[in-house]
Amino acid sequence: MRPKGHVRTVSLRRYLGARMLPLVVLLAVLVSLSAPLAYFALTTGTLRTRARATAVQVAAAVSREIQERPVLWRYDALKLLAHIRAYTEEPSIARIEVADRSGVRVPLDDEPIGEPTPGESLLWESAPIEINEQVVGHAWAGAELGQARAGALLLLIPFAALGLGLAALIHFIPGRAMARAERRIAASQAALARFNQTLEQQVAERSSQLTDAYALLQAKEVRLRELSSRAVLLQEAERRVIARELHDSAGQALTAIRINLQIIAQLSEAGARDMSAETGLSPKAADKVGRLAGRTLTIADATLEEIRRAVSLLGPAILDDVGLVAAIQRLCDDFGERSDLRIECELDEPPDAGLSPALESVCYRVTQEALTNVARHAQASRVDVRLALGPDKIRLEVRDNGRGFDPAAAPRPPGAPGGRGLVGMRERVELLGGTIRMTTAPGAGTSVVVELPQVTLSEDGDDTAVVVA
Amino acid sequence: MSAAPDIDPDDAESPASLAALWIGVAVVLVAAAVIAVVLVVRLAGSAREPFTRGEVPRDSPLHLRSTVRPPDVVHVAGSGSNLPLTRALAELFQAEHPGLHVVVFDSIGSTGAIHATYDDVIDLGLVSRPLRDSEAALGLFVYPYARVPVVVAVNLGVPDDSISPQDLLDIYAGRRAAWSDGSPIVVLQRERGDSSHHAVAEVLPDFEAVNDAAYREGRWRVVDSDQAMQEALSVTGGAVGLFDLGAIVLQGLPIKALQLDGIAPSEASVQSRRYPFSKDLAFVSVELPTGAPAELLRFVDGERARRLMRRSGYIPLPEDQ
Repeated sequence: MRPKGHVRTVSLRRYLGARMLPLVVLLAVLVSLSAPLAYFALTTGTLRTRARATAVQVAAAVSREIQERPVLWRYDALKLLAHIRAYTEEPSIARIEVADRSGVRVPLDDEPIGEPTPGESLLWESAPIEINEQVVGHAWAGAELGQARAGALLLLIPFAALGLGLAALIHFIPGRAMARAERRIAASQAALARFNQTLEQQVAERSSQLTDAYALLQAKEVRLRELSSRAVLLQEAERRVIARELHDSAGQALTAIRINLQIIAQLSEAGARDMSAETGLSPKAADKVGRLAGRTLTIADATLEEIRRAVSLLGPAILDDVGLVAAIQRLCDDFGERSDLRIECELDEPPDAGLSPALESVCYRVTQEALTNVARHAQASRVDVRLALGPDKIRLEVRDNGRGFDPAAAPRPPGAPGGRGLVGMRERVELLGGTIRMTTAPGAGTSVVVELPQVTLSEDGDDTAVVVA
Repeated sequence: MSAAPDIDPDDAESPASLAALWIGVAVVLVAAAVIAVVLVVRLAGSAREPFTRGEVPRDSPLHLRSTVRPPDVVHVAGSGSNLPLTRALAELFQAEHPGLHVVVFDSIGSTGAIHATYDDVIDLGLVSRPLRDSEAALGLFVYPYARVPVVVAVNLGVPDDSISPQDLLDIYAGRRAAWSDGSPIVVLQRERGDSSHHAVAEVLPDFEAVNDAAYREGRWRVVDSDQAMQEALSVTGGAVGLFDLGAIVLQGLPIKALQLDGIAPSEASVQSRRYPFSKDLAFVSVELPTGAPAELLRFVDGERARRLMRRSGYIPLPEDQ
């Protein structure tokens, strides 16, 4: 019993040969025997006819002789039968005998026509001997089969050769054809194998090229990310510098202007009431100056407000004021107070050099956006905010115990992570080379995790110095 | 070829179909063998004879054992060579012995005569050749009564008058095919065992071989009786055959007897052996003849009969001292 799965194989030639062999044997035997047998049958048929004809002649002659010489006929019958035999010119008639109606041979002479040979097979045919329409015996003529047998055996040799030859042709011609077909198929398989090998080489080359291209693309992507990251860092640093400049320079100047304008307005108001020597202006002029100062003060206040708003848009000023940890802590405190939430903060202190302004802004704004979403949609009672600062990575997590939602089935809550609110943050996080992911399920709360690489424009972490420089 | 495409032979049908194919072929071969054997057996006949060997029933018309023979009737049968002389002697005997009759049957040959005599179917048998050993063992009585020259007889149209023994051999061997005038020679041969052929072969040993070869090759026309021979010689131009001089003379047949090396067959030449071909005619009987057969034998040995023989070209036996 062969193990299952083991497949024994044979070649086409052997497969066909095994099935041709019985047919070939059959053909050889039939071809070899058919012609000799047919010859033997035809020859024996002819011999039977001749023997019967001879027997008829003998019966007629004996009948005539018996009637002419009832007693003496048989003493001269040998000559009579020899005469018949000679004139029938049938050499195959080996024996002629006369038998009584009881089947007993009538001895005609001491030298009858043809002595029986032991073991000799003869074709015996008979004819009735009639006298006065009475059958008194039978004349028998025996034809010898030796010639027919020898002829059949003689035919057997060439027809056996013919049968074997035909069998060999029928066996070997398809075999050779199969062998040729096998060679062609083998050649095709070899060509296919070579083609496969070539194809594999080509695929390997293309794969190598694609790998190189992919590596190049990845390198470019890394480079692009780096550039993007640097661009974001630079942008954020610039925004922080601009904001600081606006706050420190224009804001301070406008504040000074406003103070001066207040002083001018106060002086003008005093001058209008009583002409003082300090202004040297008439009350009317002082009043006019006072009103101008008031309108200018209004313009200065509006401008200051615009500057504050611009500074706020450019970057949370609180970051510059108190740093990331304190800003987030304050943000949590404010949200806790406003929304009646218990917010637990676990915040690592940044290194002395601080973080890049871009990283601080992203962390602050993600926290701000996440808390806003908690307050609006989560119906939570507790929020955990964790900020972990590793040497290479920053991890920020905001987790609530709210109702959560099915991110696949449920419509995305407006402003939810991944919604419009965090779209910008996601872009900035990704531009900085980081990731942001949201984990939520119905009844399981929501968790927003941001991971950012520690990137800076300068080695000491003061990116704004790079911008100023 | 290792790289050759392979076929899985373990599919469910392959071994079964191959076995079925072999079984089918074996069935066809067995059927063919059976048919062949039946055919051969039916056609080939049998070594067994289709008749039995034994005593033929006495009432069989094919094997009557006796004829009615009154005491005053002598039944004589035998060789055709004896018949012309015996019939002439019988006629003379009946004329001299009123009340006695001799019936001379047609030829049954010397062999038939011996067996018929032994079977007591006839009173006297006529033989024209010496008895063979098997025949002599039967204990028959033999009465030679005439010697007749065996001649090379030809059709009257043959121009030649003499022939040599070598010519005779050449003619029977087919080496000579024409007479002296160029006319073709037609050889007439008697059946095997003929007494004339035997007489020539006794003197000319090569003749037996030549004669046998002619039989085997079917070279010449074979006639199986004296009657047929004399008719053929009479009417066939250029014909030649061995015949009895006495039959020619006694019956006045239109046949010519050739001399042998210039020596004519006569009582003197035969007695002196200068003419070598002759045969003796004899009666045979199963016991010492009595009655009418004994009278016939005495008559044949008498002077009138011997004169008849001499007149007819026969030499009476026993020879005159």
